[in-house]
Amino acid sequence: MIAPFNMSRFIDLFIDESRETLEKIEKLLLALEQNIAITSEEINDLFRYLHTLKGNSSSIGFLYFSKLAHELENFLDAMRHEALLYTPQIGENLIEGYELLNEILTLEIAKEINEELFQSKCSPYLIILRTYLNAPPPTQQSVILEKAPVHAREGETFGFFKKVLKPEIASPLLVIEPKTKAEPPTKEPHLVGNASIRVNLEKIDNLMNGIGELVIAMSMLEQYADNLTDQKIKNGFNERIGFLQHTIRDLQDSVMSTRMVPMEQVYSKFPKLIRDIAKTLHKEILFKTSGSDVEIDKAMIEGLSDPLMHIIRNACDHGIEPSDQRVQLGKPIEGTITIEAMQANEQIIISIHDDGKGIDTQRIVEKAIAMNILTKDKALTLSHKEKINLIFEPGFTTTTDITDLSGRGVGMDVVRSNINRLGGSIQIDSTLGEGSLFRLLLPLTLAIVDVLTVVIGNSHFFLPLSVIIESLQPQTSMIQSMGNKNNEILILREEAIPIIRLHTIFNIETPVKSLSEGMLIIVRYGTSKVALFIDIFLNQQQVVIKPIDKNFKAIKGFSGASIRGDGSIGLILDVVAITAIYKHSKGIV
Amino acid sequence: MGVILNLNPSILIVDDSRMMRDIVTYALECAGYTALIQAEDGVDALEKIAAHPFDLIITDINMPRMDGIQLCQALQKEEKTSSIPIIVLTTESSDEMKSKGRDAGAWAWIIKPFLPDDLLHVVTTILQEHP
Repeated sequence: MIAPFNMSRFIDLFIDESRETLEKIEKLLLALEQNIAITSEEINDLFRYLHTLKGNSSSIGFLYFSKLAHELENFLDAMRHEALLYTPQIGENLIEGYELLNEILTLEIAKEINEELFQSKCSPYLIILRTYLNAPPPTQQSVILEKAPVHAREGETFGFFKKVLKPEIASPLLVIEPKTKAEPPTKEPHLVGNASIRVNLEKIDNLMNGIGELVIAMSMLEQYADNLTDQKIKNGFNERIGFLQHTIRDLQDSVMSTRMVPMEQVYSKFPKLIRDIAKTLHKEILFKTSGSDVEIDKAMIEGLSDPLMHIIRNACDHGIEPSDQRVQLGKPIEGTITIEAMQANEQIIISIHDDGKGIDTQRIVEKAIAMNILTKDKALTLSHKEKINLIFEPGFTTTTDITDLSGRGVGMDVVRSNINRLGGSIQIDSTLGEGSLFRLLLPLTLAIVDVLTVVIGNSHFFLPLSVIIESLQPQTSMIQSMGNKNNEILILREEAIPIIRLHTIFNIETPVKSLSEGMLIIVRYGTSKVALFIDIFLNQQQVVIKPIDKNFKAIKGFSGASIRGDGSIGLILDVVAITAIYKHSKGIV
Repeated sequence: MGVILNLNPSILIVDDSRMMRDIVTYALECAGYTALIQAEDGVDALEKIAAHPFDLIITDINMPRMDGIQLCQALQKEEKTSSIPIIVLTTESSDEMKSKGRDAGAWAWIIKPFLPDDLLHVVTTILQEHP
């Protein structure tokens, strides 16, 4: 051999592929639950999935996982040959098997599995499987001693059928056909012809970064063109820049599209989650999805998973009523949770709807007053929506009893800040007795963001458009001082908005110190608003976000950086962090 | 290690698992083979064989759409493809499977998990017999 053969390089691929196969198994098993009966096609698919898992894991050296997959494969084989007929109980057993496979795979990856652990986790289960098959219970024999459990008998690992050994069959053909030797040898790399390939997300990020650099080089050219004095040359220059711009945008779009994955990947976790919750709570819950082919930035999936999980858990736990209550109310016995994704206006909109009891605003207001979040007088002025939005207040909860599921640990405020971190926002609508609707509005991508360039002294910063509500040049009559001298408040349409002077926060020297000389940009901060004081704002543009190097993590108030047209670095302002600095400086925690 | 006679024999690797395909490809690449094409099941393989002549086919048995046995049978039926040597690479070690493979026209079998040396031994032996 020219190079040593190293199997470990395939481990990542094995893990990816196995997780995909496990997802397929899960999907099939959950669908089975609804249908009661199983088709022979479904049995064959399941058999094949397990067969692949077994073969691949034994190749990579995950022998415990392989052993478990092997046992399940035997079980499916019996079903395939109708030695065993499907019952809902068997369906349950298969789901249990699926869960064990997941668990053992995780342990294999972490290299934490050993004989003892494998036996303690799997023995009872394997005994059940073998009872069905009337087979002897599994021996306590070690998996390792058995070597690869799927290996050939008698040590035979390969062999030839007659053909090769009897050249008379092959040789006449050789004479007749000069065959492929005459053909020029193919130079195609082995990937050619595959409709798709797997690419590391990092490589795509590198591509995206490269395009970011192109965009920057582009704006440098634009700035250069602006300085040209000869109008004729300038026009010709701009025309060509326009063409370049167009090409870069197309390139950007196609690289972006490689980062996109269907919502299906996000949805795939929920059927099992809901099934498990419904079982624990003795509720009947139907889960529906739509828009599973809507595409979303892969980088966003991770950040989206927890908030969605939380919302769905809440819907199961607090939204959907127990079955007997639903019957009394004349509702269908089965509660329905629907998750829907769509793309509109350069945004992804994900809606989660349940037909449960809805949000009791009266109860929320009472609780908010009890928690000192709200005064009784203020409560009277709140709209329906504002009352609902109280659940986003930090630490807010209405449940007096702590359930296993939603618990009290994480509140809706965390859900909201997670969504905000993705550059998105969350809206809730609810009708008492009829159900609730959570709507998440998310940007199409995390890689590029629309920003407004703001100026403070000699510094330029980027402020994401998604947080901006409005901007204005305040008149002195609109400003009031509160408490000690430094707390300035903007009074706008009977609303009091705290003013944060960015030059003070970042300690920047600027000639613009009087509020009426500069600009206030009103931005969303959680449920409330703050007004950021800047000198002036310039243009609006799209920038490619680059993370700030670890060494600079101590610098607070920014969510990332981007490179400006003149090649200098522009920091992207993080409203949540800025407000935290402001509150800290004022002694408000 | 055997000598490679055909300077660059083209080999089709058929398996529904991407990892398995890559492992076989890698094992052959390490031995100096470069004309390696992958197919993900029997149907895909037939399409690729129709578009490109191959000197050798290595196929898994258990695959969706068209399995390895069906692929062997389909290749046997056509005069153009009936002489292409086929190796079945499978986790199934039963005699029943072996006789099925032989009847369908396979030339050799290898059991997964396989040793790269075994694979190369079978591949070079066949290519020497039937260059």
